Amino acid sequence: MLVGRGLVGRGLAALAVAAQAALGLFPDEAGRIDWYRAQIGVPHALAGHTHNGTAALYAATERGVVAALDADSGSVRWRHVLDGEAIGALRVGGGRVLAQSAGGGEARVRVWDAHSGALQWAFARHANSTDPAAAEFVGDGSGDVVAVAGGALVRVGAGGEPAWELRLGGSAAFGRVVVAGGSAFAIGERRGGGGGGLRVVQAALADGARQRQYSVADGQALGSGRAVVAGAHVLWREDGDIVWRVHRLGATSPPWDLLHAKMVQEELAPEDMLTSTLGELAPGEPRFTLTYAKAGARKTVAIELDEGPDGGVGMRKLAALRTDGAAIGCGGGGGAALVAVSAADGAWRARGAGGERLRGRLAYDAAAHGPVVRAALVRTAAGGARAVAVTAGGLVLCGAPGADAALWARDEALAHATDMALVDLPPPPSGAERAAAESDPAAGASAAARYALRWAATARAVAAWAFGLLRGSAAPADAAIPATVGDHFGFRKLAVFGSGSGVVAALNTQGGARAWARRLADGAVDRVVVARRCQPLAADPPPVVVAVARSASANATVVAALHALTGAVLRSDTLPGPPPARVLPLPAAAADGQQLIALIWISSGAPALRVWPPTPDAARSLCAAAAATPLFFDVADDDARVRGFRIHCGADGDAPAALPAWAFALPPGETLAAPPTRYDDDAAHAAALLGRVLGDRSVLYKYLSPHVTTLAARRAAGGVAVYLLDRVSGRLLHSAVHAAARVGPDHPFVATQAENRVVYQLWHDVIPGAAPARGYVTVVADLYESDVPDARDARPAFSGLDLAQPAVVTAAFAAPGPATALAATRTASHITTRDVVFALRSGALLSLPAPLLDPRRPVGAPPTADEQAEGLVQYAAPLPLDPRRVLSHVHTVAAVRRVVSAPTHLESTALVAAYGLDLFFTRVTPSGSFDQLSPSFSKLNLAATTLALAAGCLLAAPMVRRQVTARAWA
Amino acid sequence: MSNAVQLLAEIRQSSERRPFEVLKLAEPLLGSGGGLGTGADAWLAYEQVFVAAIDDGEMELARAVLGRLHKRFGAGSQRVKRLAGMFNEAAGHAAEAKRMYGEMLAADETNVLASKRLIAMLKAQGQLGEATAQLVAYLDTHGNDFEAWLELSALYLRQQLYPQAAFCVEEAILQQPANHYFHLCYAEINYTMGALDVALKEFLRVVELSTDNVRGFYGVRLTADRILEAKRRPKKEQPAWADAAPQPATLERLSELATERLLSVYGAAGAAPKRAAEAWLQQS
Repeated sequence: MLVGRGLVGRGLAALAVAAQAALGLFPDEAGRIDWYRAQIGVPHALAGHTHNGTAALYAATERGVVAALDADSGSVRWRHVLDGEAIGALRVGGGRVLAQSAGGGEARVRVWDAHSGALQWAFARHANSTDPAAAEFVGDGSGDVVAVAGGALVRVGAGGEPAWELRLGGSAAFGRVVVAGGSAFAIGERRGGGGGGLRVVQAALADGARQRQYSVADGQALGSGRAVVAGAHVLWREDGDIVWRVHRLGATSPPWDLLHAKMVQEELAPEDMLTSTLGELAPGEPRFTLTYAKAGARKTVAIELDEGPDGGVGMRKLAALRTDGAAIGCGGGGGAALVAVSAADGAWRARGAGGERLRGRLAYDAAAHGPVVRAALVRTAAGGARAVAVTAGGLVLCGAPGADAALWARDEALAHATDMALVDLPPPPSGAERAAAESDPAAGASAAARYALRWAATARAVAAWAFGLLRGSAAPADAAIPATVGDHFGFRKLAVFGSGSGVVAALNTQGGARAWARRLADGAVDRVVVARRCQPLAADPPPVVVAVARSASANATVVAALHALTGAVLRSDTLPGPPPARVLPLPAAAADGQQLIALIWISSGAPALRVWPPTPDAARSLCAAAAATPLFFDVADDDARVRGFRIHCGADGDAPAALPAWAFALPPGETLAAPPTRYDDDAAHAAALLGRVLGDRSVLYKYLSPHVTTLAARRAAGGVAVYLLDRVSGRLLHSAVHAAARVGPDHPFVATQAENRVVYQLWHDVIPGAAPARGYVTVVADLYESDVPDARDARPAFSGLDLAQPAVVTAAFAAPGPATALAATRTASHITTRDVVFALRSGALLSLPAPLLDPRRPVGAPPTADEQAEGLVQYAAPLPLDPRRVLSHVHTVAAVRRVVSAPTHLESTALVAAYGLDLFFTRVTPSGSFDQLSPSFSKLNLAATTLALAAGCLLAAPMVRRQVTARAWA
Repeated sequence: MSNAVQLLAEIRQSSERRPFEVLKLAEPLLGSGGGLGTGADAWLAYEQVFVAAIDDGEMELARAVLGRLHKRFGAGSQRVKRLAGMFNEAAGHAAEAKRMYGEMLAADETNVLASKRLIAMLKAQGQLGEATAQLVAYLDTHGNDFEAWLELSALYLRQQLYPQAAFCVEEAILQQPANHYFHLCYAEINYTMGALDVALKEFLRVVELSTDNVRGFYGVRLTADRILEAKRRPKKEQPAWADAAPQPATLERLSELATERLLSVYGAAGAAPKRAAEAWLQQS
C-alpha cells in the first residue's frame, strides 16, 4: 500500500507540474527588475517644425543633446548625444535639423533628417573651444549650410563637403551668420580697441568670393539688449538715444536708417525707450522683440521689419503682451508669435501674427522646479499651437490653449545630476500595523477587535493578491506601493539626486517613481549625503539627507537637511561666500543621531573647516569623536601637491580646525591629472575574507585599509604616473608610470577601489606588443600584506600611521572600451565576489567578474594544478565585451558620470545605479542568485503539490492502516 | 473509557503482563458491550486481554476473546492460531496445542512465535531432550537470537552438558561481547568444568566490564585461590593448564585485590554487612 500511496502522491505532483505549462509563462525580467530613463537635459534652444504632416519639438540642451520630441506626448522620437560638445545654434527647416557645436578641439556642423533623426552629413573644423561659431541654412531648398567654423566662413553642401571657404581673419569674433540676397554675411563683435562694434564680412553665396567687409554699429555688442540681428538687418540703439538705427546687411548707401518705436507702440515715452531692451525672436526672420516697462508693468512687443519698394525699412507690430514676471519666447515655423509664460503660476498667453489670441496654464509645482525661465510656441500639424516652457529647475512643460494642466511634462533636472545617495526605506507595514492604521481608536482598545482587524487586513491583502493572480499579474502592482515604502529584501530604496539646476529629487530604485523633489537654490547641488538612516520605528527621528547647494544669485552656499521620505526642509543654513571645496561626512553624530558633516574650504594655508549643523553640540560631538579616533582628510590644493589634514580641537574642545598632517609633493615635472579618488565610506572596503586562499591552502593576507586613495599625475616628459597613497599617513604605497599613456578631457582617468583591489583605466597611445597598438588599458592592482603566503602583520593594533608597506600584484588588460565611470559592486556581507561595472562611452554598462580581472592570472602558460584550484584562468590581454554581461542590455545609458552600487538585504544581490545624462537602475547577482528562488519557480505549483500530497495522505492513511493490521495478523 | 484503553496500551508498551490489572481494566469495557477501542490498536488490546485471561485462568473470557479474533481474522491467521495453541496449553490440551504448533511450522518453518511456543511448552512438560532438539533446530535458522542461545545453554546445564552449555554462551558473547553477564555465565560454567585458567580470565573480564561486580570479584578470588591450591600440589598432580596459569604471586595479589574490593563494596553498605562479609571471606 505504501507503493500505492507513493503512486498517488506522484500522480498528483505530476498533475501539478503539468499545470505549469499553462501558468508558468514568465515574462522576461528585462524592464521589470531594471529601469531606464532616457533624458535630454535642460533645453536652451527650442524649435517647432512640421514636416510631412507631423509636428515635433526640437531641442538643443545644455547636456549636448539634440532631440526631437513628440509635440503631443513629449516622448523622445530621436536624440543624438554630442557628449562633451556645447551646442550653439539649432535650426530646423525643410525637413532638416541643423546643429552647430564645439568641443574636443573641433567646431562641428551636423544635419539630420528631421523625421527620422538620421544623420545626413557632418562637417568638422579644427577650432579652439573659445572660438565663436555659427551656422544657418542657405534657405534655397538645397539643404546647404553656411557656417562659421575654425575662423572661416564655409558653405557646406550635401555630404559634408565644403563648397567654398573664406578665411575671416582675427579682427572680430564672428558668431553670427546671415544668408540674404545671394550673399552670406558673417557678423562678429570687433576685437581689440575701438569701443566694440560689429564687423561684417560679405561673401558671394555662389563661390565664396569676398564681396565686402565693413564695420557697423560702433560701440554695440550683440546680446547687450541694445543690438539685435533680425533677418537681414542689424538693429541697434545708441546708448542714451531713443531711436533705433537699422542697417540692411550689404547696403552701402545709406549705411543705416533711423526708426522710431512710436511707429509700432504709441504709448512709448522717451524715458521708456531709454530703458527698453531688444531681443531676438526667430532666427533668420526679420523679427525682433522690444521689451519695456510702462507704469510699473513690463510689456513685450514683437516687431517685423519690412522693406518698402523704395528700399527703405519699415516696421510692423505683430503682437504685444504684458510680460510681468514672465518668460517670453517666440513661435517658430513662420507664424511669428509671442508667448509669455508667467514664472509664478505657469499661466501663459500668446499672440499670433494675425492678432490670434491664445491662453492656457501650465500647472506645476514651482517649489520643486523653480520659475519658468524659457518659453516657446510650437505649431502643430493641424494648425494648433502648443506653449512650451522650461523652468529653472529643468522641467519642460507643454500645454494646449485653453487647458489648465500641462499636456505633458518632462523632468530633465536629473540629466544634470551631480551627486546621488541611496536611502534605505522602512519595510512595508505588517498586517497588524495596517490594522492599527485602519482601525478607529475605540476598536483598538479591545485585543479581540485588533486581532479580528489584523486578520481582516491580511485576508484583504491575500484577496487582492489572488485577484491580481487571476488577472494575470502575480506580482503586486508596484504602482500601488508608495514610493517611500520599502520591501523585505532591500531592493526598494530612495535614490536622492542633487542636480545642476538646484533641484534635489528622490526616486524609488524600483521603477523610478518620484517620491519628492525640491529646489534648494538657483545654483548646482554639489553634494547629497545621507546624514541619518531610516530607524526601525515610525516614532524615531526621520531619515535625513543633507544637500549642499550653491546659490548663484546670492553668492552663498545653502546647506539643507531634508526629510528623506517627504523632502520637507528640516533645517537650512545659508553660508555666505563660495561653495566649499570638499563636503566630508564625518564618522561622528550629533546628539539627535544626525551625522556630522565637515565643509572644507581650501586656502593656501590650512583649509577652513566648518562643522554642520553649526551648533555647539555638533562641534563638541566632533571633538569627542576626534579625540577618540583621529579624523583625517586630504585635499589636492594645487597642481603638484596633495596635503593631508587631521581634525583637531582646541583646548576648550569646541573649535574644530584642520591641522596639517602630511604633504605629498609630486615629483618635479608632474602635475595632477586626476585628484584623489572620492572617499565614500569604510564599508566600501570591508571584506568578508581577510585573506586569499591559494591552491596549496596557504593564504595571502589582503592589505585591507580603508584609507588607500588613488591619484594620477601627468608627466612633463610624457605619460601618466599613478600613485596609491595612504590617506592617514600620506605614505606612498605604490606607484606606476605609464609612459605612453595620456589623460585629458577626451581620455579621462577612471578608477575604483574595493577591498584590496584598485582598478583604473587610461588611454595609451602605444601599447607594446599589442594589436591594435593603441587604446584604453585597464590596470588592476591587488594589495597584500606580504607577497609571502601565510605571512601577515601580527601586531594587535592596526593603525594607519604605522602600517607596513603592502605587496602589490598588478596586471594590465586591454579595456573593453572607453569608460566614463567604474564601480565595484557591493553586497550586504561582502561574501559575494565583486564585479566591476564599466560605464562605457557607447552607452553599455558592462559588468566584469572579479576572476577575469585577477592580476594573478598566469601569463603565457596554462594554470598549474594549484592555480586551477585557486580558480585562476590563463591570462589573456583583452577584457571581453561579452553581450551577456551588458547590464543595460538594449538600452543606451548615455554619458554616465558615476556608477553607484549598494547592498540589498540578500547577500547575493547588489543594486547598481548609473547616472549621467540617462538614469539606469538594475540588480546584479555576481555569484548567481544563490539565496533566491529562480524566477521560474512556481509558488502556485508548490502550494498545489503540497495540498495534493496532503489530500493523498488523508485518502491513503485508512487504507494503509488496514493493510498494516492485516499484515500483523496474517 | 478512553483512559482504560490508554492504560492498557501503556501496559502493553512496557512489555509487562500484569494480568490482574489488565482484566480489571478490560472487563468493564467488554461487559458494557463496547469494544477495546478502534483501529489496529484494538486488536492488540484483545490479544493482551486474551493472554491476561489465560494467565488468570479466566478460560471463558479467553474463549470469547479468541472467538472475536477468530471472527475478525479468520482461521488462516497464524497469530490467531498461536493464540489458540496457547489456549489449548492453558486448558491442558498439550497434544492439541503441539499439533497446532506443528501445523503452523509445517506451513512456515521460520515461524518464530510458533517455534518458541513449542519449545516453551516442551520445556514446561519436562521433555528437555525434545525441547533441546527443537531449540537447536530453531537456532539453525535464527542464529542471531542470543536469548535463544542462553535458553539452550540453560537447557544443557540442566542436563549437566557443560561443554555444550559453554559453547552456547560463547555464541551469545560473540554477538554481545560487552555484556558482562554473558562473561560471568561463561566463567562460572568453566569454573564448574574445572577450566580454572579460562574461568579466571573471564571473571577478570567481568570485573573489567562491570565496576565492583561482587559476583565477579568473588569468582576471581575463588578461582585464584583454587589455582594457587592446584599449583601448590606436586607437579605430577597439577592439571594441564597449570603452567599456562599466572604466577602464584600474581594470583595472590589478585585474590587480595578481590578481597579488598569485596570488603570495600560491602563496607559501603554499613558496618554489619562488612563484618558479615569479612567473616564469610575468612571461611571461604
